[in-house]
Amino acid sequence: MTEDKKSELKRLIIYLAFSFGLAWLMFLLFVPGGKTWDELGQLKQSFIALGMLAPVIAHVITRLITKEGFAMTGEGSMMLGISFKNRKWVFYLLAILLPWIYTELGNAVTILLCPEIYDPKYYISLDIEKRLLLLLPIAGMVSGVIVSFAALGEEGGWRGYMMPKLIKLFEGKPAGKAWALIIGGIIWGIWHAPLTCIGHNFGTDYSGFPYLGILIMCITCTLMGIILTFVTEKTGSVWPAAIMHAVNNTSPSMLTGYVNYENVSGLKGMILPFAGRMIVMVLIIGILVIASGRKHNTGVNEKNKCSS
Amino acid sequence: MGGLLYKDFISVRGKRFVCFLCIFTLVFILIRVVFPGDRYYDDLIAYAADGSRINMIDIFLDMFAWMFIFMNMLFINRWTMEICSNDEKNKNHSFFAAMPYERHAYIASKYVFILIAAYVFFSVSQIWIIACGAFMSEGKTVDTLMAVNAMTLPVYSFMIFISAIELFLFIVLGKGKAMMIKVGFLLSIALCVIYILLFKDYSALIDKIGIYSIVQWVEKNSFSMTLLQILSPIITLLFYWASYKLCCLCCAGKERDYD
Repeated sequence: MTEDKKSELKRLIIYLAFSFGLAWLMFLLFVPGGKTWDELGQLKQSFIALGMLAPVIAHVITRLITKEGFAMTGEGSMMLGISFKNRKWVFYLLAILLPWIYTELGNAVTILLCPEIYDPKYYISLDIEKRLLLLLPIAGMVSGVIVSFAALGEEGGWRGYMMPKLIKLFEGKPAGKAWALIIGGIIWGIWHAPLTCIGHNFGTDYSGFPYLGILIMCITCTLMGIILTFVTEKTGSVWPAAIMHAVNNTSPSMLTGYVNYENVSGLKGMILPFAGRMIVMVLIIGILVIASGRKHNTGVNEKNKCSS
Repeated sequence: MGGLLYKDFISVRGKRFVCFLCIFTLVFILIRVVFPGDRYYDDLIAYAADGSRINMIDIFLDMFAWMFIFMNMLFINRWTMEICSNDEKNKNHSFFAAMPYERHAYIASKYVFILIAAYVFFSVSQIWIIACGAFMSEGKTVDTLMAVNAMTLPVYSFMIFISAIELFLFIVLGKGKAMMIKVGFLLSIALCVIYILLFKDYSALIDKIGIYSIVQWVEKNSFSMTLLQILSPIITLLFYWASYKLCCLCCAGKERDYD
């Protein structure tokens, strides 16, 4: 390992120590012993979710310790600049629309996989008016863009610091970037572990609790991380990733009012809410890989033509 | 653009303000955590008309949070004026015209700066509301907090709407004329209010704008509230963009006349 890579690894370890330390400390301090995620109530859940700011705080602290500076744009920067030039606005638009597309399609796929979860009157038990269901996606997108500070807290750390360091560390190795993305996803998934252990996302009523939940969280984070790293690299900014993450967290889908996961229980009930979305995400990643591969090939062919 | 934004940040003493905002937020969260609403002090319990207990610590911290959020909104308005008048006083516009900046970058920087400020203030206000609500005793105070919180986004949108008008006036007409228009507008509103207070029956209006009637309205009209929360920022941002475009057009016209 070169000196450059050694110092990058050291910086990454400092960042991870602060990121995990701060978030897990907040969790330990404010989650009363024995209570599950649902028992906490909406307001307490929101307060615990402020732990999402830990990665960006860790990013700032790490930069202070390692004296890397606080540049907003360019290589090795905090990637907080915003530019719409060179069709970068397309990725901002994609960041807003893509979570809606994969959530809606994911719900549709889930209904196809398991028709018993379709409940045409489920929105009544959720205390939502039928006409309000039509507004849910756009409400999710608007609130995702405006109330994106918590997601910016996560993405400012994971995409703004960890991923560039991991990609640099794996540079020059076979399938280096793929490894960086997988390891990044696993770290991100494990970071959520304390919440998964009290039933966030998956509940507590499934076999293999909580290890299976942590495993599925790692897979989801890896898939999500690939798309988020893609938009971050294309725009050179963490903002589209933050917006996408925030919109994703609002689960903008009209079908939410018709999908009742309480109709299935156990392992099936735990995996199903994520299964459809994960299938659509894999398809999207496939499209992104093929599209960027085709663009790369076109670029190489044009270069060859010019040189010949 | 980054340089222009940083210049405005310095001109409003932004660094000091950010430090103040961070410290104030941390202290508020600490106080809220140390004095949670579910811990009852006998001297600090009040009873509502329906007999339910209300912890006065909740009310105090709730009011404190709303005061702080209201102050933040005033800062957006103040900074809109300040970033334009500071440049006018120091004749910065002619200096930037001689610099290799893109056309309209100067105007864009003013509009972007106010948007960033509004985003930061809105985010901090959300943190305050979350912290305040998380440790509140259950009951009427939580309902009030949630209902008033639902109004935060439309109110912030309204502040940006006002800023869009003010920025246009300050950049195109200059501080003197813009202040004349602003004071004239505020005076006419004040006169209208005085007229209503003196000569009209406003008792029905007071019943409608009471805090609990707002809470009830928000709870009953979830569809209208969601629509308001969606449309207010979209319409405001479209108006903001139109104001920027119009401002660029007027400034380009002014430069042509000058040439």
